[in-house]
Amino acid sequence: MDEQTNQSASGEYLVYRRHPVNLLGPAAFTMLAVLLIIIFVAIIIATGLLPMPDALPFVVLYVGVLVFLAISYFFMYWSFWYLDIWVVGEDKLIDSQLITFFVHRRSELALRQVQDIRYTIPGTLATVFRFGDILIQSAAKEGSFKLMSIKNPGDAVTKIGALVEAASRVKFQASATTMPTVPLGEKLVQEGLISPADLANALSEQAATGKRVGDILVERGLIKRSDLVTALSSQHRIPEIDISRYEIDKSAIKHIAYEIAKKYTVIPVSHTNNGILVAIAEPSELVMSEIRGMTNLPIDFVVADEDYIKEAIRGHYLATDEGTYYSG
Amino acid sequence: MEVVIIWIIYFVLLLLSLIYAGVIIYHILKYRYDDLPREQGQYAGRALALYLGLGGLTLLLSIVIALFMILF
Repeated sequence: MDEQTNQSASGEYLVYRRHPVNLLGPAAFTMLAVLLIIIFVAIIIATGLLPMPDALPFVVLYVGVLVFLAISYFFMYWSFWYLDIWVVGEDKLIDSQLITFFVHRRSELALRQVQDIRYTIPGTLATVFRFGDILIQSAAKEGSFKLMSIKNPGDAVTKIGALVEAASRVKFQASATTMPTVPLGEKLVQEGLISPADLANALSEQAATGKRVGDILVERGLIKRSDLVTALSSQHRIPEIDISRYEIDKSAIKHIAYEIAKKYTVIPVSHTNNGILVAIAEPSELVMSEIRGMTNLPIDFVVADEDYIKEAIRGHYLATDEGTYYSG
Repeated sequence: MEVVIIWIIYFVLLLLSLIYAGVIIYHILKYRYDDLPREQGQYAGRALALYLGLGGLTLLLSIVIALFMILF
């Protein structure tokens, strides 16, 4: 019950929940509570300590309610355990957690954005019952996902890894054609972030100044920079990442020269299975093809905030141990 | 007077426990088909029925026995 493979119309998916050993505590507490109630009642009946001569019916009534509360307590824990699940499908991971009553959290992560999967077995109990915590790190703004107390975490990591690899293959095939079908301004209008009049004004300013539409809209305060990143991601059908929260892999940096990184506002952020993941501020077919050609590596692109990329370039290329920058 | 107080405390306790049970039932019914596979949602429904059966039986038995003791 703690792991299940299911079939849906779109294919196979895995459902994970915490190891049932997590229910041992509440189950023991419930049994102890019921036992204490029974012992207490037995003692007051046996010793004649009843406060009133005809109090026995009340004792029965109170025992009924208290046992009902004890059963409810255990069932509450069971429902929290049962409804807290992680579903891994062909293209996404869903984290559906009932945190407390009336607080339900649901997060999704595209599997193609997964960068690393690892597991730890925390302690003796976990070793005996063979469960562990799985950490799924992603390049997405959602950050990392932690699957807690998963039975046979090694097997789970293998299965999830296979799904991630399959999703990444699809992404790499898809990434060959990321030509935008809709201009950025129209995309923002479609998503209701700006009005057609805002777009017309921005286009006029673009014609006069040569600035990019996205930058004009951000400068005018009509959209946030994060909206721009999301719109670019959607427009080019490539994922976005929050690079400010991402730990950049220093060994990936060397694959792109400083001059190129600065010129195109790109930065390698990590290694993928056989290539690298590069964050780009302004995706375009031309630039992406050029960078692919320079590195001779399979490159997956992700969109990130321009300011953060510039900051990362300054931080990672110019702050090497040797005090110089990587240059190709 | 003491008997009245004991009855009031009992009914307050009963009401609170029924509210508690209601909240649990609400959550099971609300979320069992959200992300759970269909058969697991059905299993949650069966578990809920078991809880209601067991809990209801406990309450009902205590009430019936107590009433029997009071009346006879």
